Amino acid sequence: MSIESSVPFGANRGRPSLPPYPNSWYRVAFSHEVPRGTVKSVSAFGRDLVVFRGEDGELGVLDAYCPHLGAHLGHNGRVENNAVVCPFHAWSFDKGGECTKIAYCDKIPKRARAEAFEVDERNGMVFVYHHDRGQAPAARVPEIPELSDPDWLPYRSITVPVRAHVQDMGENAVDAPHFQVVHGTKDVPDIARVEVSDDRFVTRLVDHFDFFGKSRPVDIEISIYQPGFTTVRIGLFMKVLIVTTTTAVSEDLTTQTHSIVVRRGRVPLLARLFRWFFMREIRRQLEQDRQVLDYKRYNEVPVLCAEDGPVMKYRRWFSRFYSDQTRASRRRLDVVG
Amino acid sequence: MRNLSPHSSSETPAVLSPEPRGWFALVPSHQLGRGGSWSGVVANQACRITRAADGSIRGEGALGPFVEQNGFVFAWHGEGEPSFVLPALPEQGWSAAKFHRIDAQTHPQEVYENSIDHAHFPIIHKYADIEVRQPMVLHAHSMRVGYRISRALPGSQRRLTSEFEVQLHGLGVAHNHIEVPLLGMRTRMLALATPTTPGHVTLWLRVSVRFDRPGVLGAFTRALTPLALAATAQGIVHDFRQDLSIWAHKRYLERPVLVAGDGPIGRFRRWARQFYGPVPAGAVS
Repeated sequence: MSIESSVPFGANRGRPSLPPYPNSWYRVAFSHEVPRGTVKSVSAFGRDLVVFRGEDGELGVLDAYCPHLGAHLGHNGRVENNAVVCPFHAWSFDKGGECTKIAYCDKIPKRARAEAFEVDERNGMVFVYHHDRGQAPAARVPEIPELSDPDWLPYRSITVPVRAHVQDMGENAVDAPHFQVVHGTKDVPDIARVEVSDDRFVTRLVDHFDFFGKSRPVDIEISIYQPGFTTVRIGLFMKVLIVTTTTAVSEDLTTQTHSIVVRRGRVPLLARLFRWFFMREIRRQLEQDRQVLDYKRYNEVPVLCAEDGPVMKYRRWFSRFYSDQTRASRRRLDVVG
Repeated sequence: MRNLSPHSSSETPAVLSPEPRGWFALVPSHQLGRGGSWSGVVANQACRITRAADGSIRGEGALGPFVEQNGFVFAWHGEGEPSFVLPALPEQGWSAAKFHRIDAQTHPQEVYENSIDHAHFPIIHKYADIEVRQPMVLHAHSMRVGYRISRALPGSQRRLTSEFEVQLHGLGVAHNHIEVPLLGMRTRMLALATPTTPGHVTLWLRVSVRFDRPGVLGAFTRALTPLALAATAQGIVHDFRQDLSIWAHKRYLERPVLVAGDGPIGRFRRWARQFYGPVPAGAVS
């Protein structure tokens, strides 16, 4: 008989002292998951949403609950022409959220609207914009040409649910020592450079990869564009690109999807083999990260030492995605500068 | 590619709460033999009843008193004495009853709001030719409404016209009467929504039928009673099942947008308010 502790742990870690949903585009689906004439139910930034594609190919994203009697538009809801039809009383809503048809009533009241969200389809993914004050997006998600370039293998994706804040997910990338401790790399990778520009936060790392007993340098470039969108470019003997989308689902849940493309190169079979190997490695590392992220607490004033990565620099940069900047970026101890 | 995003995690409460005051069915009488006991959760409270050797029922927990009628043991939920009585229905002339239990993710008020929300009948249940024969009448703790509808026979194109009436006593007991004139058949259906844990309801159904047509044809139809009972009960359960997925995923909106052609949702909800909060003075009838 195994002896298990009957006392729970981690019950008091609380929630981060950060607004739960930074202003950002968040991926809610892959394009192929929403073919013409279908509706898909998703949750993001604390809202339940439906994503639907009309017969005209255009996407709409609406609040999932019908303003009439509250039925979920995505559960047995259907698309008719370019509108989503509620399963309960068959009210139709277009992509702007406007009610366009009620079969049993000619006069449609002005209040009969579902909240509509800004949607952007890019890189084979569907993004929805969240701003806690309803402002228009400052920037779009960048186009990543490799995702549709025939010189690169089609992407493969991995999604992991994590019980952590979106900001913590990106912080992991600049946290150099964790690579050694959590992922077992030979050394703490050198952070070669951190570049902060208006449109992204770039960290360049040089890691060492043990390949049949020989240590080879690996250049890694992590570009965080928005809380919901990051790219990781890895130059090994193969070129690898990871497009990482992070979606704040609820206050306790974030999902992260890694879409991985590998350059075909001269020997495509080798690239496929490498992709398989790489996916396995990514999956292993994600599981390792989860073991920490699912249980960690957000320390507003962390104790940092000189070898830590530019954690505070990252946090300062990230604070631009909060409407209430004072709450997110109070002046605090900053070792790295 | 698997999408792991769940899709029902918004933070505002989606279901109606708390549990209303009223009579709720615990268990069919035949499932509680002499010396037997039943325990469960009703209105988020643990409840246990036992039947003594003399047939009387004794209960433990916050619920009570208990009454037994029309094949069920009911408990009063709410502070103080019951503020209304449940009418007992005569059993004479009715067939044996079929019992059915459905577990639903909803709230009792939502179950019965459904019966006045006739705009959903054609969409969810495919009823046609809907006519409100008896507009909703509200009186103290009870509600009455009646319709004429036509309904497709299972597996056929033929439609049968029927009239049905709902009599609601509080938010836990509905006595429904369905009449199919063509067959000379009457159906009595008890639909008893018992709140269990928050967001969950046990819906008890009890169906019985009768044929009152005189003469040879009457004798012939009466001979088919067991068959008619089985088919009718199956049809009723089928129709309730159609509502389940809507209930499980809908959200209760305090301020729904309503239009002409909707049932009297607002009046029903205002009437339902009496079953929540402090007991109004002099409400005992």
